[in-house]
Amino acid sequence: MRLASAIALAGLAMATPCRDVLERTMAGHMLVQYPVLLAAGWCGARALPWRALRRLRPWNPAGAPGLLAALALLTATMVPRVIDLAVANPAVDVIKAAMLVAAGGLASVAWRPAGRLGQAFAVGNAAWMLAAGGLVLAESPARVCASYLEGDQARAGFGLVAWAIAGSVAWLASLRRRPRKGVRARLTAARDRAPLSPRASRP
Amino acid sequence: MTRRAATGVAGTVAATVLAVAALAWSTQGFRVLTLDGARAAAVANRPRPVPSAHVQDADGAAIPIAVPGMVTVVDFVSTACLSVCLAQGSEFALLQDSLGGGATSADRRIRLVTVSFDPDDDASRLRGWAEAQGATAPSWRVGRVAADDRRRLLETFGIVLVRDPVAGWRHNAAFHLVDGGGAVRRIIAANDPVGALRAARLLVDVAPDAGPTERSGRLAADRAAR
Repeated sequence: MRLASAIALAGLAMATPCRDVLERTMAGHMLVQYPVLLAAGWCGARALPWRALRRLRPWNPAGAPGLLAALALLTATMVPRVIDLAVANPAVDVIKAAMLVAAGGLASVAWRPAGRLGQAFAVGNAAWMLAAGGLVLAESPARVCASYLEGDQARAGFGLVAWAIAGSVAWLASLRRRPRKGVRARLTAARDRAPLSPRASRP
Repeated sequence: MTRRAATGVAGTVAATVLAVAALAWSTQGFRVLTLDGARAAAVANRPRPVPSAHVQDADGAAIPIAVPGMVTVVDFVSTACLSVCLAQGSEFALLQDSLGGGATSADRRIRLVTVSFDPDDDASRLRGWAEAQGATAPSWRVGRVAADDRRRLLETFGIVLVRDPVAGWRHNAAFHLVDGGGAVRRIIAANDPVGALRAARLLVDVAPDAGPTERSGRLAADRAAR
């Protein structure tokens, strides 16, 4: 179900009529298509079997490598040159989409191992980057992207600031949520604590 | 180091490599952030040959984009555009005044060409725009590109057109310096006419009169780099 949702989300964002509509404006491109592709990656990674996730865990100590790569991929896709090239060149658009899906997937895999501290680091960095980039777009008298007009650029800029605030508030709100109880939660916790292989459990 | 720790280090290194590679790809090796920066860097590294294109003035006379032995400063406009194209016209007028009808031998080898990309620009609109801006042939010629050549020419120069409900058309304006051999050698920001003039004079100075050979272009580039 999650995998189907991920594929549907990515397909919807990149299929020709939707892609054209979303990429016609900078706001649609950055405020709608980007988050949808990130969400597709996040959902896709949640569909991975827990055995695969457990195998990945040693490669991703405290979730730091995953979050670092996810932030870098997101930053790379927000470079104005990439935004312009994605509009003009379908091949670059596919690369951009793949990078965003990968960023969402990496963040998803790294989220729980990162813990509160790692999550705070990632959310703080992403929010700072979105807000700073958004204010630059909103206040710049010149067009940053050749494919979009100033008014559209300003709307996208303010939208990025809004995303930064919304993301930070959502994460802070999640801190107040009580941990899940019940059999399923205990099973999940047991899987996370379980050794990677039978050999690793020997003294 | 335990096997688990080594795997963690390997994962961290892999993530770092991925992060650096992604950022290097998007910024063309940490050099540019915008499309305009990228196209300026691209032609500075490797001059881009201009395709043959039919550009005609209001009287139907052909305007060559490149003339052997001369440096041509090219810009693109729409006569209906009331924003950046008008500003670009004013800056070309400043350049024309600075060149002063060819006071020095170097300045005599610099010419200005304005090309309209707007299919709606007919002869009367071109003539009116040229008169309003004070364009005086032969130092500054104003023409329009033939419909069949428009796309190819704009792609070569890296021009991106956007429909603007207020200004008609918007595009990434700049000063494009074309050498006598017919290659785009430099792209200077639209708000820097002084830099464009300096670059054109430098290009004239380093480019031999014969101009068009690839070898001379390379020599000129080497001398400019030194």
